[in-house]
Amino acid sequence: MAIRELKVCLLGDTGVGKSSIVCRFVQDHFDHNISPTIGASFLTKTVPCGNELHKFLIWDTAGQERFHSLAPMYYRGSAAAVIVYDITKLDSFQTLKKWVKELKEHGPEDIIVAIAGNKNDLSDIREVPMKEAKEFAESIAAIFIETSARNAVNVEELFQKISRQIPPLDPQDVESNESFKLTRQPATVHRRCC
Amino acid sequence: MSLVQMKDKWIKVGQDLVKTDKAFLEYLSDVNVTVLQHLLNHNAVEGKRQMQMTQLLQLSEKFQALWDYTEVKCKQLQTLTGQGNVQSSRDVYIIEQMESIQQLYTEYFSSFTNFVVVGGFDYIGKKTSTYWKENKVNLWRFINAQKCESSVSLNLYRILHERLREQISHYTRILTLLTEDDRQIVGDEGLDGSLRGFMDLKSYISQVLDEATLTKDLWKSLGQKLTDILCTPERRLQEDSKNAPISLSAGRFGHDRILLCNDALIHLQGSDVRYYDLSTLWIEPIDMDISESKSLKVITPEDQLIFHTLEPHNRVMWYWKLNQAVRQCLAKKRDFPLWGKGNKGQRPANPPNCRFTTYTFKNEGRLKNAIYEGDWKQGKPHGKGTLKWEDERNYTGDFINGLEHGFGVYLVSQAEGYNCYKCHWIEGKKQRYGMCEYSTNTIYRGYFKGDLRHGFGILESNRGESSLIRYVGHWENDRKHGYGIMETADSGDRYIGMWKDDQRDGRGIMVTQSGLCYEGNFQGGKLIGKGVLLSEDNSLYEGEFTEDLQLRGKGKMTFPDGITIEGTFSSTFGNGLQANGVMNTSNNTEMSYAATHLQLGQDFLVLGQWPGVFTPFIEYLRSDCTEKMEEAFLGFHTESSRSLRKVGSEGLGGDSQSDEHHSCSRREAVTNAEFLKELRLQQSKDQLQQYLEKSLQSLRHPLGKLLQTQTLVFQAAYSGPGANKHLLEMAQKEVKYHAEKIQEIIMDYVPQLFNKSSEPVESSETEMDFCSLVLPVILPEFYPDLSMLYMLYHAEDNACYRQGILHLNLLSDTKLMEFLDVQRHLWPLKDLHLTSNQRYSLVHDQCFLSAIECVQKISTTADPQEKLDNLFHTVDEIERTVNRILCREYKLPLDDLLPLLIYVISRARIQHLGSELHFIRDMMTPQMQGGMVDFLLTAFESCYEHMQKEEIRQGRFTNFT
Ligand SMILES: Nc1nc2c(ncn2[C@@H]2O[C@H](COP(=O)(O)OP(=O)(O)OP(=O)(O)O)[C@@H](O)[C@H]2O)c(=O)[nH]1
Ligand SMILES: [Mg+2]
Repeated sequence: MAIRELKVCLLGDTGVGKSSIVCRFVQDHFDHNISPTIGASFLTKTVPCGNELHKFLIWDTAGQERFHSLAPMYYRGSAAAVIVYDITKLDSFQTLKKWVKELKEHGPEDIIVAIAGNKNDLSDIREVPMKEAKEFAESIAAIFIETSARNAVNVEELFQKISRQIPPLDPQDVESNESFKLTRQPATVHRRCC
Repeated sequence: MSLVQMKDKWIKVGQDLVKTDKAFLEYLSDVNVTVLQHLLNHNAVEGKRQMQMTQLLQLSEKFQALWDYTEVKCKQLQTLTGQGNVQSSRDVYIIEQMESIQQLYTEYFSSFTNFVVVGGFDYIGKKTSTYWKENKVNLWRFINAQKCESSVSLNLYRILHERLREQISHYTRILTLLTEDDRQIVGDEGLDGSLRGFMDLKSYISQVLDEATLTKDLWKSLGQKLTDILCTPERRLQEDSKNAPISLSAGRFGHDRILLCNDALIHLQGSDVRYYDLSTLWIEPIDMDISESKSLKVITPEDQLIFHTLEPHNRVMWYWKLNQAVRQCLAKKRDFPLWGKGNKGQRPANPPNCRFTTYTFKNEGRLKNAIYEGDWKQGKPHGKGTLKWEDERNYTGDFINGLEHGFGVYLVSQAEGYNCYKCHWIEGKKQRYGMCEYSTNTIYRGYFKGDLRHGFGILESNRGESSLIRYVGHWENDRKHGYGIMETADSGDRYIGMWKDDQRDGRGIMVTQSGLCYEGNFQGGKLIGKGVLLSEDNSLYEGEFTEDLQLRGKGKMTFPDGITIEGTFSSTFGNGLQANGVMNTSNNTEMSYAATHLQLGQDFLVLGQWPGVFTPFIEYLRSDCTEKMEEAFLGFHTESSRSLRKVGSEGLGGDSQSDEHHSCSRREAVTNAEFLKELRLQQSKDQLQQYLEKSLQSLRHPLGKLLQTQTLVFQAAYSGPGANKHLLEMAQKEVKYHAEKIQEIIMDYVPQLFNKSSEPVESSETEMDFCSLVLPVILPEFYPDLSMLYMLYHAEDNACYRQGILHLNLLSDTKLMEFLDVQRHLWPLKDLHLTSNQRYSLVHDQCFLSAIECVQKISTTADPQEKLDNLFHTVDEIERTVNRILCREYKLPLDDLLPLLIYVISRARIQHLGSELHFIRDMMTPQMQGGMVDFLLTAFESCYEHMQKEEIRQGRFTNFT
């Protein structure tokens, strides 16, 4: 079976739950053979998709405003970007719109954009109506889903949706990809999943 | 026989000998006075027939020598005899010194027969006949009256040799008597030996006399004209087709005449004289069993002669005589005692097929009038030799089958001086590796094909020349062709790109010393058409060039401040810009960034720049990999001459050019034939890498030589004052190309180590690619030049980063952490050691020391993997420190990690962090993209980027200081 490595970066305001979503996604799948990570920000998880394996290389970014200008360095070369907002914070939805705009302008050309409205367990104090967000996502042909990292709602689904949007490889490409899959990872660094 | 009898016996021999010697000496003295001296007096008179007189003088000399010797020996013996001291054969000189006597007589008879052959007696007889008529007595008293001849010359001939032969007979007689008388003396080796010696001498003398007479008669019969051409004192006739019919034209015997002499084979036909030196004559072996055959094949350097005989036995006889004559001619010594019997009577062998001799070519063709001195085989120069042409060209070296083949030095005379080639040859043509020092003081080192420069080669002026030019690149049919680099020292220009017919042609880059950088299509040596021009201040022109390297044509100019002009330009750099067009002042900084970092030569890489470097190596591997082949394919060993210099002329500061002259001394033989065998034995990646490390570093190992050339071509383009930041991309790709090529070469020999696994492997330790295998081994060679390019490329951002560091380091540890927004609970306050009056806020350089140390190590190695490992360890160390502070495991999210990294980096004060990170990224396999390595590098890069921010660079953190 062919393994495909897919870089996914997480963007969004600070505190919206990016790291929580990654943690939920990676941790829930309990795997002792998980590859090493850097801090809590680089994690990987492999999921099957059709007759391929998708290895998500997840780049969690810093949400702080002062590092915002560094974001392009992180999202370059991504196959997909997950932009997260907090349904209880209208501001975070406004920031999301800015991210979308930036990606359109400076991001990789065929990047898959997924919008995740997090903390949907707190829908009673919701500030962003689901309909509005959904319509916005449709207008930019993005994936949309509301999630709860706390209750493990829709986190898997979010990544499944991304998987499904990845175009399958040409048969020749599969072959060459295999024979050239020459990665090198430092044997000296041993980390466990967070 | 009693002892007393014995003694008497020896005394008697002594007395006998003294007596005959005395009579002999009397005769010699008499002949000398009355005859020889008289003949010699005629010497002064005549000038024309010098030859006879010269021979007469020599004859007289030998006569004198013989006389003197006999006189001395006779006196000594007389004394001994008188004292009764002759006791054994040792005291009798004709026994003890037989060989000296033999020598003296042989020499005398050589001179004597020489004199006979040149018709000396006839000549001198005629000259002196009037005198002898009047003084007949003087002649006759030496000769038995009955036998007396009427001819003066014949009498002289007899007087000057018969008595000497007689003397030998006397010696023989005395010795024979001694053996017959006494059985005890029989078996005395000395006596037997000397008796045999005198017998041999006797037969020898009669043989040379016969030969001389025959030869003299031949010259007489041939007539004056031919004799003048053919007669020399030493030449003797050995066989004549008159006696044993042989001819070059079948069935027409008597039409031509063949004379075999001791030094030459002479063919006469009408007035035509052909002359074949025996030393360069090869007689094709004949099969004695096929007795019907009547022809004989003789090979000369320029001819093949087929001789025909009437009878098979004649053929065999000629075959035998020819071989014997050739053999003696080559040995420069005639057989003794009898011709054709070899030395000491063993059966003589035929002359060797391989010999050393000299020959002058006569036939029309490339060798006309050339002289060859050296080894021969079967009519052809073969082995080592020197060939000198009439026009002063000459070649010294290996020959095979008549042609230059192997290694040789070839000099061609020029108007001033010589062109000196030291190269390998195949079938008469320069081929494979060689060098040429031209009379113009330039030198070529590289490959040849069919006499012409072809493949990879370097042409440069010798050091000390004012206009130094250096071309490193490909050649075809003696011209620069293909990819190559030309540097001109006086203008400082460097051209990197394609050549055709000795001219810049095709894609090319021109870098000038003033920092201008052109890229475009060259045609007939000029940049014409679409191209790019970058100036040192990062102005960029993209457009047409209507004149070579001039800013003239339609195009777009982008200035460093982002202002652009689009239009028609008509100026050169430096002379003010003249343009007709539209100016756009909406300053677009992105554009100027692009110009600053623009990378040239991107489409060159597709061409596989250096086939000429690798092809010979691959050919070498396919050959039998002998040491000789190694120099032919990979160039001359230079290491040995280097070490020779160390030993020989240390401190003399000799011209290092001459050090690179090939060294023929192949002292410590490299096990290069073993090198492939050894390579095949490598079992694991680690072993292979160790093997590579060892061999690539050795200048005498084939792989080491290859790497030397690779480094050389790399430096030609990217080193020195011409190093240009716009070539960084090209340079780093070229390094990878070199690594890839080496890997490609090795791979065939250890395929088992490169087995491509069909399963996707998660743990990647067994996998190999050139980036992890070869690259780290060869990188150190390229690293200094390459890292210089990275530094040039990052000059601007590095300056900003350094400013940032400067300001951040004004802050104390806690202030800096506070400024960077490091969460307070992560501060390693435990690590701060305060002295009595200190406050936390003043402590400097005491936090995260282990991480700082780690990150500093990246600049201590050229290996990108090691650098990367240091980055990983840095993050590890930060996390370890944090975990210690928190007393629990805590995975740092990026929001926490970035500020801490910036803290560590600013304290580490690395000089060229941007270059280092860029280098690591470039040397990373593309397959790592998106992975952890990429993430880590991105984290460091983003810190580097952050530290260049205006607010940090300007130190806008007043509240913190
Ligand atoms: N109720 C609720 N809380 C959540 C959920 N996801 C995250 N949180 C909380 O939101 C806070 C911030 O979550 P993080 O995952 O650190 O947010 P982040 O986007 O990574 O923030 P930055 O790293 O600062 O950019 C934490 O206190 C989480 O416990 C969720 O689904 N439901
Ligand atoms: Mg986070």
